[in-house]
Amino acid sequence: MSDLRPQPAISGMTPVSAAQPGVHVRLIEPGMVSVLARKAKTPELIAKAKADFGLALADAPVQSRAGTVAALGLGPGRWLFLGASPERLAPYFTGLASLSDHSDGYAVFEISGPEARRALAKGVPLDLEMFQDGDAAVTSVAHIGAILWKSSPERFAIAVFCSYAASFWHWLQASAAQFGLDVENAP
Amino acid sequence: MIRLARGGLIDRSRKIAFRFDGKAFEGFAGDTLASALLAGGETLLGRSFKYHRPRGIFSAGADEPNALVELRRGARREPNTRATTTELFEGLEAQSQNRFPSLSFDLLSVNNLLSPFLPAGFYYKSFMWPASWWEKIYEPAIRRAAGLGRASGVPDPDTYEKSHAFCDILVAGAGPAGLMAALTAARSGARVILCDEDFAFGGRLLSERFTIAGQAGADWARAAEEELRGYLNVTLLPRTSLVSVYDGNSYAALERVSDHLAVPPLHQPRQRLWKIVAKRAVIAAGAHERLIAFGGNDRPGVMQASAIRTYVNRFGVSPGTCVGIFTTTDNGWRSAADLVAAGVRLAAVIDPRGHVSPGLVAEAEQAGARIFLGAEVVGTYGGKRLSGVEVSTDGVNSIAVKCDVLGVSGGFNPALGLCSHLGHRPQWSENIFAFVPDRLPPGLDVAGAARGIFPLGACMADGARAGFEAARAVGRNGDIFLPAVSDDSSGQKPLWRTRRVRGKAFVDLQNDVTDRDLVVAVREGFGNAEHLKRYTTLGMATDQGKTGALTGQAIAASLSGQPLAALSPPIARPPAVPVAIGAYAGLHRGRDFRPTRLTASHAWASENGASFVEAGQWLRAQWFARPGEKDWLEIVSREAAHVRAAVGLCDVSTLGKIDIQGPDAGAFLDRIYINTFSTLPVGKARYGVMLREDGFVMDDGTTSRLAQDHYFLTTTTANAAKVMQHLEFCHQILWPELDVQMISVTEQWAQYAVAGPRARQVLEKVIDPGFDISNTGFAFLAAANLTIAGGVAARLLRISFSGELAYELAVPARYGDAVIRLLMRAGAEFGIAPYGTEALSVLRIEKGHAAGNELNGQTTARDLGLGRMMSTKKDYIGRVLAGRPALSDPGRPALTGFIPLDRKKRLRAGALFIIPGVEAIPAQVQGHMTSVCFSPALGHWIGLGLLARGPARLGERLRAYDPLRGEDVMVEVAAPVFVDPEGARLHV
Repeated sequence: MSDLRPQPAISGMTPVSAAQPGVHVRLIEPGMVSVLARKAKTPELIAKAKADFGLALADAPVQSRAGTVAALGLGPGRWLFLGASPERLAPYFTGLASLSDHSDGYAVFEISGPEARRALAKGVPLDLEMFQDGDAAVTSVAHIGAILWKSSPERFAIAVFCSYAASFWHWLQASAAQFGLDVENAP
Repeated sequence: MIRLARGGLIDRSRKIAFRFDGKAFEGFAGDTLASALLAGGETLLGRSFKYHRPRGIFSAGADEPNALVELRRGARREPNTRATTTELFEGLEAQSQNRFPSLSFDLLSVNNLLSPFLPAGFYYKSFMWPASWWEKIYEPAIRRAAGLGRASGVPDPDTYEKSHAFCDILVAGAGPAGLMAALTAARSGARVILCDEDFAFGGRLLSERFTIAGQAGADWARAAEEELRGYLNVTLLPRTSLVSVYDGNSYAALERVSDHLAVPPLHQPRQRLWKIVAKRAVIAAGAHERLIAFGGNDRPGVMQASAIRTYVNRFGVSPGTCVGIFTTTDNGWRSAADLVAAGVRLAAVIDPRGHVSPGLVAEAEQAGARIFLGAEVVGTYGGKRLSGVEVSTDGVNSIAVKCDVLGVSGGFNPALGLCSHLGHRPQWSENIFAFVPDRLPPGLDVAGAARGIFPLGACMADGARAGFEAARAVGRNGDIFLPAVSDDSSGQKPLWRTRRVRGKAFVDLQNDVTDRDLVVAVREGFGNAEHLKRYTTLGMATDQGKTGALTGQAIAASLSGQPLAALSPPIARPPAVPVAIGAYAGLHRGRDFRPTRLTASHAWASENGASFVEAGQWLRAQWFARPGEKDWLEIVSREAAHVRAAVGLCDVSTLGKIDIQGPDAGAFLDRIYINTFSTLPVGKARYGVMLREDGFVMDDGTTSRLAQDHYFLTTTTANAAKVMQHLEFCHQILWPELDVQMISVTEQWAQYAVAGPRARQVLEKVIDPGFDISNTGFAFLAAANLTIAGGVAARLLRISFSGELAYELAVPARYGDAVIRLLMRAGAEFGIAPYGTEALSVLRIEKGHAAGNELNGQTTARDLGLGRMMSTKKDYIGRVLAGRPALSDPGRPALTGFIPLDRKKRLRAGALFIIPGVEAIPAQVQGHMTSVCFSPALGHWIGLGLLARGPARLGERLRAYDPLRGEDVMVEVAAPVFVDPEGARLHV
């Protein structure tokens, strides 16, 4: 076991105080693996995911969930698995998909609270009111490329490349400030 | 100039103190700056743009041409703010503008006396020679004399933000038509956004005395607003102007969040720019009352008749003590009636029409007003304030009528600007003598007065119709309920210019355009509306000619004998009202202009004295200064020399990294690169060059093979996204038959170059036992997955940009910080030192490696000395076009090295190569210097450049001529590899 200490993509997330913060944010660090179907293997891959993980993979911009594993549809035949590692998936998907590890590549913010949608509207060019639980989109937020999905009925998750984490945080903090911003797990 | 004893929609219990030009005033909550100034007796508000004539308040809304003030002080000073739309707030401070030294005594009003010499086009004609004087002398002087307000000149302390909204139906304008449209749509259950530029909803209902459903119009509007507020599917945006219409059913709206406050509350923006996507939109923007061109029609006290109604009914202010009305519309008579009802003395009503509805006339006559039918106002009396008007019934003789305010009603122009933002022109209507909508953008409808439907009942019915149709279009069933409305008439007959004019007759008050300017413009062939606008400035600036442009166009048409129906109005472009630049920038100011990308070692580099440089969005360590070092050259030379002598450490994480996988990955790369990758053994790396389709070099980098079906491709920092896009395009469009998958993994890996003779010793300390990185076990261009520091997964590549024994170690990004600290600790005993991008560049120039300066989009692989890499055994992108004669011409400039003859001389990138004795003219340029550095290895400056037939000219002496910096250095042509040309140091 290494004694090297991993660092989150961002440090120093300072809240904006309010009696009843309207927006809550926390950093999550799910294992993330891109699963790109090999040529003409999408149906087989979907069947395999169903059989081995009980995961109803949809070839659409939605999140499918089964236990601790979830998958986001990013494009035709492309998924981002959450709660997974290449080592864990490789035995199932060999020959069906190409896997790459992205666990370190993204900073993932989960945003909730009664004013979350109004705060996010300041940078998210999507109709979040129409987002159902599990809906996902590859989009840009305040000029930063992002994957956004409704990770639960109450929460939006936004993954940005970790090099953008500080810029993204700065935008989020400025946009949520008027509602009060609570940081649930400040690193 | 008096506050009426009662009435108005102001809160007389809440007094608000403010200052204008330093003088203290008091108004009430619900006032605008204009209404409060009128109540305070202030009638002179500004000086005109060109002639510096005294000007007062002309309107009561966004179409105001005259009453522009500088609002607030210091950094918050905001020029050209319309007093008529500025909501009064406690402590407001405003200053008049465009006057010197004071508003009432303005020295520049001499321009008014010079006006015969200042016709339209005067500046263009008079200040043409000498041409060089325009920028330095003429323009600054003209701008000083003819200007509007002054910007603060210091950074804006407030914040601005953007927001996105989505709805089924967007209604712009909350007057009678807009409220009916919104109510009808909202009751159907559709998602509705209703915005209005005013702080109160109701539009003209707030200004008039009509009854709706048995209650006062303003009360009905308040009830409608309350009903709308109760719907969860409705968003109300007061103080919000719809400013632009864009493609794809999207709209921009500006919300003045804090403009009605002295200072924005904590964490609140000053303004918010909305992007609204609406399936359907209803524009109910109303209409603007237009002026009539008559002599002295700009004198303070002359205003829109409808504005008088607004001041009397909404604000409880009479703009004067004795008021005349000059009207060609029934509406003007209603203003007269409202004045009478408010107890204000009505002096006269002058109507050019010979016949007017007797009911309208009787009311005015009973009040004791003089009635002039078939008459015109041909001139005005007074100085800084109107004292009377000159009325003529026959165009020859005239009589004087005393009044201190003249209400003018020349008809109404539907507010159509938004409808033409996508290029749709309106059409002329002979019913209302104005433009009405014709073809409209998809999803957009117009209702009420904006569509030329003026009588209140019809206007509301049209709003309901628009709301109903919009609801149906989004799949909702609405119902139309029309309340009973009191009678309204909208008879009118246009009068553009009076038959006789005494003095100046303005058609554009803001730009000081008179009827005489139109004569000049038409005479000189600029009669078309678009020409007229550019030539005379008719319809330009903050009010965009809302009150006068049409009048001007109509006069120009009659001067050139054109029928009005042939008029083609200028297309209005966004924004419909002025928008502060800050609102467009939003939060993206200064450091946040664009996002910044930080590498995993950023915190460590900051702690260790790094200076950073922008590389695209990335911040990279440029160098690491040590105490006592006097300049960057000393630091960079020390860093570069240290790599050659011992070992250095550099963050190269910003290079693009792409995982290429699948059975056809090798075949795919063979088609992308000029050289072959399908034959690359697993565990090996290879330098590759890719071309664009046109045969020029696109990018270069090292690609390694980690498994039979897995390559790890690297790009330059600058081209990372472009290469990814190129690869995706090639796969998806050109060769979808290939079984290959690709994804960017740039962010997954923190990657460090460990370079120098002692690099291996450093790495051996961090790599886990069992991995052999010896020269034989892990030779130059080896690549492997391994673990470090007790099990952390890593990728190790033995590649070198510096020409020294070197490795690049990639670790998962969250270990990036820990690993750079680990490498520094492990390397301490070997003297490891970090180096930045400048030293990186020095090392590569010494080795003759091409980089961004050489990969400039104009160089071929042969130009860069890489022609031998171009495979002849396979096809690849750019192969055919790289074979064009011009691209394979041996005379092309090619990568070459340069050394100053006088070794103490500095070289300059950008210098041009000229053969000594030959004139330094463009035709004689042999090439140019692309990259230079001081080489610590050689002890003098060296350069890389592109020189015609360069490789064949070694030893030749040339001038490196830099006319930009005035330098001229003799250089010797050399091979581009200055250090270790055999590459022996790579293989130790």
